[in-house]
Amino acid sequence: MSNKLDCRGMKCPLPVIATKKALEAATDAEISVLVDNEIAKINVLKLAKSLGCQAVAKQSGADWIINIISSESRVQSSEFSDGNSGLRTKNSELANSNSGLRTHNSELNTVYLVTDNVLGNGDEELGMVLMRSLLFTISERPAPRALIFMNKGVFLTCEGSAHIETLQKISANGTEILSCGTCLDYYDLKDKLAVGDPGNMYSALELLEAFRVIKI
Amino acid sequence: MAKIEPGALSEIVAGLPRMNNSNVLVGMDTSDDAVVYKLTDDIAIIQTLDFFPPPVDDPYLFGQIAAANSLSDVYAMGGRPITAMNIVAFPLCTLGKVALAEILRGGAEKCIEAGAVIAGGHSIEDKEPKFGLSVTGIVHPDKVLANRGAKIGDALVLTKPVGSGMLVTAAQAELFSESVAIAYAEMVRLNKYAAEIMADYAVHACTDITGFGLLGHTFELTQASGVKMILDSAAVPIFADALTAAEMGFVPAGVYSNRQHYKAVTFADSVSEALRDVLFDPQTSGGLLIALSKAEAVLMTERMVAAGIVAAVIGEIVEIGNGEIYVK
Repeated sequence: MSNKLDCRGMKCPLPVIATKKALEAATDAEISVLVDNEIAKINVLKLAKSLGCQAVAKQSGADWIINIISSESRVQSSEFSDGNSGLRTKNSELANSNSGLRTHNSELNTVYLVTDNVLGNGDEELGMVLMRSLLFTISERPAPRALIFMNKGVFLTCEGSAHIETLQKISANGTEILSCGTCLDYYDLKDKLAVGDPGNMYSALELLEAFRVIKI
Repeated sequence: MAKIEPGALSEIVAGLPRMNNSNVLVGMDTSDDAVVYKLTDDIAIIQTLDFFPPPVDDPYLFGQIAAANSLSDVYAMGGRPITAMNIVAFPLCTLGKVALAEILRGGAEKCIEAGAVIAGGHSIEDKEPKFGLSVTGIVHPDKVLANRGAKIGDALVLTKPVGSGMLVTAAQAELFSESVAIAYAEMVRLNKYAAEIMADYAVHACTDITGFGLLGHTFELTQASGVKMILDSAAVPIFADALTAAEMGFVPAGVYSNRQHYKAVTFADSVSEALRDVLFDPQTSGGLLIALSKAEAVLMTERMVAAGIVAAVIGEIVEIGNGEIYVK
């Protein structure tokens, strides 16, 4: 069984919308979409891919025919409209942000904001020992949502830091490690980041607003 | 939104007669946003106009967005708007007086917020509505900002997230309503507030982000300045759900023509297709793009963020060049 959809003459993004609706409503295993321009073709192919469907486009005169086979993932695509699919919708805004944050099922909704490379304001050496102890303890406990490093804190995540291994372990436990890009820039550490990803104020604020924050 | 594609435009403009006048401080040769004409040693006028069909259904919102977009060119040149005129194309019979009044109200309110006087305009009957403003601003001739002027070692600061074109497109499928509302709020926001903070710093070059997307307008700036830059894609603020919309094919046609045209932009392999699309996404009433020394950029960005502006340092000018941009 094949379901035909004629999207010729439709302006962007109507072919994508029509195809999405058809895929969600389809009882057929295959849908063929007819479009009259290359941009519509590319966009419909992108949609199919994002819904986990197989799609092939063929040129036919001035038009394009895109055959989309909705596999088992079609169930997912119809769930998508309910916001339950594997696709990222509003519940995982963080995953969409530019910081490359991943979503995961962290037990703890805690974010540590680290703004110095030592812990506390007293003796520098004591501060270093305390920081080592803190990071080690975090690595042994349930994974927090994220560690955000700002200002001098970014020295902890860059080459030359004594804590890279500990932070890698924390990262492997599923914790997001984010170092302020502006700070990396400012301290000329941009190419020295050894663990986690660079982030910006936008991605940091999203985390700080959404979770319980412990400032170090 | 409805911009003529950049390739065609530069071809067409290239055939026009050149006009040389020593009072013209910024003209057409550097793809700038407006003309700046020196009147006296203390005052130059900035003249600009912009109009387009509605990217949104709500007429009042459309009026606000179109006006914020038109006023933005004056801020991008370092000036402040003083007067504005409406440009209206409208099917009065089919859409009715109320809708037009709402568009004009949105535009007028933005002009008041900007401190500019709106005084009439010109309207024609047309099948598809279009609205915008012709804006006149003033600036001190020594304080004019333009695409040219960025220096090696400068940081580039962007003052609004990008990806609104994707979201506006996806909104037609009634997707991502929360993120779309955030994008509308940014499109309505005047660049006045970012410009006021910018005025306290030694800015070398400035433009605003509209139809050619972040990378298109960044290229206009780097090319006019004769430099190369590295743009850090991870540092660019992007509207939530814009990347998802791009992956799903809610990609405006302008993205493809921009990507086709700006060949001086190269990407690291790690930059995804969707992200490339978003970085070329045509923006309506996008943010300012500001080049200034790194240390000043950090301070300025902090003040902007504290003032509620989604500003970020997104790249660095690395050497002399022909506008090449490497996106990592």
